[in-house]
Amino acid sequence: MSKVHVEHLGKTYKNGVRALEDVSFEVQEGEFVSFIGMSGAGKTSLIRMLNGMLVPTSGTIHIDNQEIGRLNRREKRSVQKHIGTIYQDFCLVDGLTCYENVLNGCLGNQNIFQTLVGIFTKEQREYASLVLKQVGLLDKKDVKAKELSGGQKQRTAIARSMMQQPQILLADEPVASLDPYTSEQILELLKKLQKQYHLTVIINSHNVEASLKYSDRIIGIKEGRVVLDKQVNEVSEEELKLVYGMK
Amino acid sequence: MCEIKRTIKYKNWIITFLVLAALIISCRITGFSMTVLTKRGNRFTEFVLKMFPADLAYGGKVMQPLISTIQMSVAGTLIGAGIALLTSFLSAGNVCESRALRLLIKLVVQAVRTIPVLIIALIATFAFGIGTFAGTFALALYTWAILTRIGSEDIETLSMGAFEALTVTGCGKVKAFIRTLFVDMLPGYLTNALYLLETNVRHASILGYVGAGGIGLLLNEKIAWREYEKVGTILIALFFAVIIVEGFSWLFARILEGNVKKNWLRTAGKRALWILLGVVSIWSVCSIERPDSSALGMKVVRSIMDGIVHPDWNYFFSNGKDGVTWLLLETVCIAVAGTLLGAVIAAVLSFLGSKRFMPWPVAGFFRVIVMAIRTVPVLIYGIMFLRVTGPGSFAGVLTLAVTSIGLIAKRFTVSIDRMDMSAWNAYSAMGVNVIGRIKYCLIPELFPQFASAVFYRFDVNIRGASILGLVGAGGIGAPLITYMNQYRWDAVGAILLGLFALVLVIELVSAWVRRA
Ligand SMILES: Nc1ncnc2c1ncn2[C@@H]1O[C@H](COP(=O)(O)OP(=O)(O)OP(=O)(O)O)[C@@H](O)[C@H]1O
Ligand SMILES: [Mg+2]
Repeated sequence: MSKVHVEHLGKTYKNGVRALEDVSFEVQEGEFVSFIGMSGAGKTSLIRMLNGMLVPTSGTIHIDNQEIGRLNRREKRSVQKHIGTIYQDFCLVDGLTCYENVLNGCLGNQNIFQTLVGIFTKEQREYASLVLKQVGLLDKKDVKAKELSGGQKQRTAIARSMMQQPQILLADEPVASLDPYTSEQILELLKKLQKQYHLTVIINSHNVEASLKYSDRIIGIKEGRVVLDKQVNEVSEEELKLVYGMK
Repeated sequence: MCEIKRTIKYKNWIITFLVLAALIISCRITGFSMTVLTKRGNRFTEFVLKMFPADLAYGGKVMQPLISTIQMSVAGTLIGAGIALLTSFLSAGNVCESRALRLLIKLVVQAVRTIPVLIIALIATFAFGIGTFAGTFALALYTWAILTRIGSEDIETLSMGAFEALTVTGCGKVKAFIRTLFVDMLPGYLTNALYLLETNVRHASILGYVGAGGIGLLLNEKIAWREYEKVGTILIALFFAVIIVEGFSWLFARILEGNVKKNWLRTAGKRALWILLGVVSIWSVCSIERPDSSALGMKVVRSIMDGIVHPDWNYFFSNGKDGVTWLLLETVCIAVAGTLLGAVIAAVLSFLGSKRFMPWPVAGFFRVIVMAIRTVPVLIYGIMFLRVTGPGSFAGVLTLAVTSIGLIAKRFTVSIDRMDMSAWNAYSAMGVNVIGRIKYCLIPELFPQFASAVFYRFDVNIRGASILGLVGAGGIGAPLITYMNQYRWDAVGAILLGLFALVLVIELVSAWVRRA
């Protein structure tokens, strides 16, 4: 049984740009898959369709055998609750502390009143502390997000998505704005969490070397189409060059 | 490289020239005269000496109106800020998708910002009757306009990333909004609201002049009866009220910024302060008098609207000395001369009040002086300067100058205290004397910030200049109030329209200058 099943997916933006065309792939439960491809290939568009931020123009997305496009709003939300997403620019609330940002991950289980007053249950608070500990940020708990370093911000964002107790973790170039050493640490962390919670991880990356090192499988996208889909140990130099448009 | 430098230099010269020209023309038109000042300046001190020593026994009688002034300010700020919280989101481009709605709100905000609070209050007394309701209404409307504008500008700088990221965790837009954009803008918004509370206390103290409640009524009465030592008492009471409000607002601003060092303020003290604020707010709102049901209400509002839609165009375009055009010119000139004069005095006072350049007792002394100058309501200065200059716009210039000192000096002092001293120290290590250091290090560093503070105050003073007429100190205020009292709404409409155009032009010019 596959976790994520994408068939003939296409996306054309309002301005006529065709970002994706006839993309199909399957990701198994617990798998770590990297998408690689040049700038503008359509990777971000793909991730955004997987988490429901964008609606596809054609094709279908199945998550846990449920077709996303056919769900009503309520059902869609309950699927979204267990998909965590990490972004290149972190998407934190600058004025809130690290801890408060992490708590934002469980808004899905709250009612409006609790949100308005800012009430979180004891379990939620304890779980937030636990995930902060796992990402190694417990000592930065009360620091405002805007005062954190890039790596710390990304750890906060990871903790926030762990707060959702996700089954699927999506990451759109999670280390693109970080230095090489910090990038390595963040990827290690993702790998560790994947193993520990048996997560399905789908990650966009420009860093082919790191993708080869951390993932089980590589999918190459070029001009909106899948041009490569192989296990890491089967990928050849030539095929990688093809993805990046070199002979 | 050289080419660019030269154009910049030319531009500086042109701006300097224009400012000087504006100053000279303004002094001419307003009848500014140094000789009058030196010859008759002693009348000002005579007046001060009549007020002080104050009649402290009178203090008890001052308390009730003082409290109602503060209640009016708190209630007005609270109500205005509450409504503006909604409208600032509705007029922010990144949140509200309806362009028409955004434009409508912006237009109303701009219109309200054109009219001085005192004039709004006067209109409100026609509509709701005399009393604190009119005053509270005016303060709320003013607060609403200012905060809607600042708030929506702040919201537009926020990034939508976090909001979108949370929305796709399946929690729905409303909850995502509350925990991202809303909580992100709230501390800054509340800080601005607190600053406005300070301003509103000052405004509230003169609203009594037009019958809109508060201590201004008493002030007006005591001046009319020439009981100057009682006027002194009122001023002292106002001084302490302003200090207390400023102290509280400073404390809250620190808490909101989250940089509180003291532990007791972090926990119990913080909670106590919020509860206090809540109690004071409720008490203030409950204390507002009911509007007078016999007042003209909507009828007045309708006639005013009618007047604005059908202004007296003959009056608007008449070019005699009592036409709108001339009055507006005079108002601008009062504002130009007053602002620049005030800036010079403020510059001196802020150096004297800077802890960097002065030993702390001296600095502290001058800071208290600035604060005292700031406390006295505009119209009192107007009355005092009238004794020196006689009726006319010269008195208006002096009045605006002293009322500008407070805010400009405050901003100057902040920029002096934040200045990077390394260049100054390096120059003094090279043996450059004080004059050289001021010329080559202080002025280049501080001038841009000074200029922006002065410009900001000029914008405020245009509106300030249009109420001076109330005490006979020139500008467009006198005919405005006269026509209002005569219910000549078409003439009122013409004046308000003129003011609206003037403020708009000045805003466009200032945006252009800032960009260039
Ligand atoms: N909101 C949008 N509206 C219109 N066109 C868009 C939008 N977002 C992306 N595109 C276009 O869709 C194409 C794919 O963009 P996408 O962001 O998915 O690429 P990417 O692979 O993530 O690139 P990068 O590596 O630079 O992040 C590009 O041509 C882009 O210009
Ligand atoms: Mg991208």
